[in-house]
Amino acid sequence: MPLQDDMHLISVDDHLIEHPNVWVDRLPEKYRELGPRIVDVPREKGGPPSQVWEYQGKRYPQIGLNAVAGKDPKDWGIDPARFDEMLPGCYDPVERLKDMDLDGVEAALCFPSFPRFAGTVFLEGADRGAALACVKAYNDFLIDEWAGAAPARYIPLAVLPLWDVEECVREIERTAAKGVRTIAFPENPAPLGLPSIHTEHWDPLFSAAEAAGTPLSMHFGTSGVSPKPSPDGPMAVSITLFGCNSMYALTDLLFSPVFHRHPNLRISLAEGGIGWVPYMLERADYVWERHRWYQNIVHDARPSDLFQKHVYACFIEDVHGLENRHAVGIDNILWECDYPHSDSNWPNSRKVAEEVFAKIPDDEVYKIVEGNARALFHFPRTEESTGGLGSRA
Amino acid sequence: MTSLPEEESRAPHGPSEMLGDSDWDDEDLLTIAEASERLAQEVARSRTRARMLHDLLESGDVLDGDRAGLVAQAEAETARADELAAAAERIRAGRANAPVPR
Repeated sequence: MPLQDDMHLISVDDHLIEHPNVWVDRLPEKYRELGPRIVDVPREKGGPPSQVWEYQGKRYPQIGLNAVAGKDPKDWGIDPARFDEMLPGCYDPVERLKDMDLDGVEAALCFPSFPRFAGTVFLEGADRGAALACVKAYNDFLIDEWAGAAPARYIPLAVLPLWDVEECVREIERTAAKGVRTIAFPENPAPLGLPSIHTEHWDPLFSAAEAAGTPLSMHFGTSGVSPKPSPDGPMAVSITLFGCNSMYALTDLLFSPVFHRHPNLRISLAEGGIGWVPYMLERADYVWERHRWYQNIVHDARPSDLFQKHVYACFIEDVHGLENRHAVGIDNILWECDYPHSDSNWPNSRKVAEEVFAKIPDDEVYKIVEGNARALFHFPRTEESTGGLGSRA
Repeated sequence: MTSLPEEESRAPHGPSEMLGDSDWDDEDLLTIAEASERLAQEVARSRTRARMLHDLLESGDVLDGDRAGLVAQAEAETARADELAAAAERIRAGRANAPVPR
């Protein structure tokens, strides 16, 4: 069996739900009123009130990122709207470990929920001082409380105060010193009203990430834009096309100055899939060969070479991508679980992985499920690591 | 400064009023009901597989050389079913300790 018992499954894309007191417990008193806090909202159909986040005077309905946008209102009430309607593993790092054990998953990189996957919620609100305190409070929670519960099993990811690049640099340095292994960054900052990656604006941030050895984790959707060819099309269209955001992000990066100015920067494209990568690299190389001379793009580095050096593509299940894994690059593929989202295969992630990797050689499986992630995130096995099968070891 | 007027905050909010920005539209949380159903299905599958293995072992059709492996498989399936059932119970109990805002 190619997925050997001693191989650790490392998920580079899971999610946590912030418990109600993450900010209440950590914000300086002057910001506590403005900071995120849970408020009760009566439900139309009665019963216990919904719990929603309120931040700087605005209410955010998705405590668990259980989406409501685009759904028929009659289906709206089926998602968890209170903490006591969620799996405890969503918000409790010790309970999460038990769920991971059951799933055969050794380690997880968890993206935030209320702050959004790249912390972009803190771009909102007029009080930037409060927003900065909220970013720092989230990162302290993530490092000290969440990852601190099991440092060998959680890969700490920090969010940044994206409205101020110098503060971003300071937060990268501060959190790296506390053990952060990766930084959340939007797949494309331009739609968020921020300078694009083609400007020099982000250079200090990228340099700081290089210096700290912290790759950027870009989860799809973090640009705030989703693919919707027709305004009245069904959600199935957007869901099918979600990976296109990662295609856009990758192509934009490959033709930007980012990798040329930052030769040690690494990027993980979370949840984007891998099956499309060979075609996109072929296409980018084709365009580069024919069209680079009259454009302001780098002339001496082929896009596919930049990809191999700088970019990691991530998947849950992707048969076509695995069949073409050598065209993607065995060293450029990461596995993910996506717990506790319904896309995950919990509690059978390991079983599904055994089936997915059935025809792939051991050494390649090891790199995809464990080795690449440990190298990229500087997250070596330790004495506290389990035996690979979680509770089944 | 941040709280809504009393009347507004106590009024029921319709779905359209509650729509807000989210990173992604399909990132639904695994619900308790769905998770419980997944666990129940897996418990049933594991128990079925364990029962089939026990039936096979008792049928007398198993070669001596295969017996130890099949016994180990049956034990593993039984243990997995117990583990899944315990997880369902743990999740049910854990919900009672859900965090409350301070």
